[in-house]
Amino acid sequence: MSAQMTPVRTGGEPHLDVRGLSVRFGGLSALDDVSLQVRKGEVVGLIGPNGAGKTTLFNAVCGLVRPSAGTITVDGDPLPGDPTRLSARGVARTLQGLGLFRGLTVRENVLAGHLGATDPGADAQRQLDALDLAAHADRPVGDLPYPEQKKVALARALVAQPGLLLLDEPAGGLGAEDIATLGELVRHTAGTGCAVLLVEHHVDFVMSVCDRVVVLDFGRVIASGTPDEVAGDPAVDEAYLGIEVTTR
Amino acid sequence: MTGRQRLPGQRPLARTLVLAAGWTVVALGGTFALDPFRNYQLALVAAYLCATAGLTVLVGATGQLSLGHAALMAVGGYGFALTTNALPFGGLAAFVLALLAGALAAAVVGLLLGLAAARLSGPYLAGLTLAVVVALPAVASTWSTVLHGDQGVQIPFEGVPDALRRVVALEQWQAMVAVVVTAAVVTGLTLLRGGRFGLKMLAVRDDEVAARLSGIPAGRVKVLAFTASSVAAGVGGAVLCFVAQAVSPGAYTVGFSLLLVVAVVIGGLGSILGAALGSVVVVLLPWLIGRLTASLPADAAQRLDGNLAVLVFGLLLITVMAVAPHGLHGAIDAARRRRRPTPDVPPPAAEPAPRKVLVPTEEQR
Repeated sequence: MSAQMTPVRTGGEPHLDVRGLSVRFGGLSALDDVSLQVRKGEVVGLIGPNGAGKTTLFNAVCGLVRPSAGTITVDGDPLPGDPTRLSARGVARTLQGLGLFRGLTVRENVLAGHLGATDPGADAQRQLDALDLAAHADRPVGDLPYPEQKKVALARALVAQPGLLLLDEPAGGLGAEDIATLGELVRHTAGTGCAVLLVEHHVDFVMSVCDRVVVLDFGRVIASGTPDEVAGDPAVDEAYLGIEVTTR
Repeated sequence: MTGRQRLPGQRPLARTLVLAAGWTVVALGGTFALDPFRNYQLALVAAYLCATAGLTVLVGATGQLSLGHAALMAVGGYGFALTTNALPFGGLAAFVLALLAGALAAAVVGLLLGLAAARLSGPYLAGLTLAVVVALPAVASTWSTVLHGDQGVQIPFEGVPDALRRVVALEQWQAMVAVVVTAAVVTGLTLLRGGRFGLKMLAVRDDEVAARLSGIPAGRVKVLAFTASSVAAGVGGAVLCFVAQAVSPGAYTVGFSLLLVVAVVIGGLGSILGAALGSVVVVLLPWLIGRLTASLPADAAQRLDGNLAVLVFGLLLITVMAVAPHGLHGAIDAARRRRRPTPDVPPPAAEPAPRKVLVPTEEQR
């Protein structure tokens, strides 16, 4: 184990349990013996410099890349290793940028995340209402301002009421006001019992929203703990090379 | 799909069927107003429409480009002809069986192509499908005992059923049959595209990874879409064989296959109405040009024969793309919108450059 986890605030068995995960691309080791846990109702932030392996970890959890070692379980059972079966296991993920279906309306984008349901229309409407998107529901998604489009991507992930939510740079490209709203939304989602794992570069957001933070560098966990513990860790400063995290 | 609610924005099934029945009745009534040659052309348009409607749904909704739909039409045509000749009886039952056999043959070939297609995209898929058309004459001559090489397969002349012989001429009868079969194919494609599967196709086209993460099996959706499109093309080939009473590789050249793509693009990618308009253009334009060259001196006409049509198609394609990038259907839509302006829609927001912030800036604090 590269680092010991310190369970904070929320108890119980981990919902997402990643143990000894390694991913190799040819000779390059993208992830090396990474372990992390996310409990229900907990928000865990995954940070680290570019190329640290954050998105690779997401991709491994989603079955988009095949791990060379390690186990990934959700609710005690291994994941199928097939992205299309994730939503049936209660796992949802947003993509870096938008990952929206540009040719579809707002409503259709949300529906597309929920086609296995018996009445996706009603669930989509509920989700659109919850995120204040109902007024734009039947407009092409590309017509919306960028922050609203980010919300649509979130709505698509949330519509199936996942037990585990993976957010890949949810605050990317957003202004301060929208980031605050996003933070509230993430906390609210966790409050419903959802386990949230997020990758984010925006330090203020990570520090204010997350219960725990895991720091990756060169595919290894170099620090983990509460936001305050991590912010004071000299190894983290070093990883970010001269960018002072502790000045805040 | 029992017990499943209709998706919001989805047209009710009954409305689609009523609309389809209405158009079919109009087209059938229209055959009475046309002379035999026009009815023959209508039958051609209907047969082409099966293939172009299948193609436009495939290219428009899934983004898979097939240059091989002529080969799939040929497969349907051969399936139809061989079954017709093998059956000991004639009439409506034989026609329906042969049509189903043609559709099934196209489905099998389409499924195999679709399995390969799901792993390829863009020019590689285009190349693969083109190769199938190029290989068609070789296939026909390799199995010449069954497919009769370049000569193709003839089917016995059946003519108009006795009950209608006094009312309709042969060409009109053929046009009516073509219209009914095409209406069924187009209705099927419309339902396919309008339902859950349609949403899946569009999602896969726009972002395959996001679609898979949303639980949409992208590979299976692409294979099914390709197969459905192939069935439509196969039925078109069967109708063409019914009209021409023969099928031969010479009718399904690379040029013809590309013409199907041209029809779809001129009409407007993804639009079935566009596919219909494109099919009309593809049938009428060579004939119009033929009329034009016929009035020229003999040697000039001989030199222009066939070549002029290709040139005009090229110019037409360039013109349509320059003037109406979304094809004829797109141009009609735009004209309709101009006449009935919709409330102001703010211009789409430009995607801001991704901002990667580790330390909050002054303004964010």
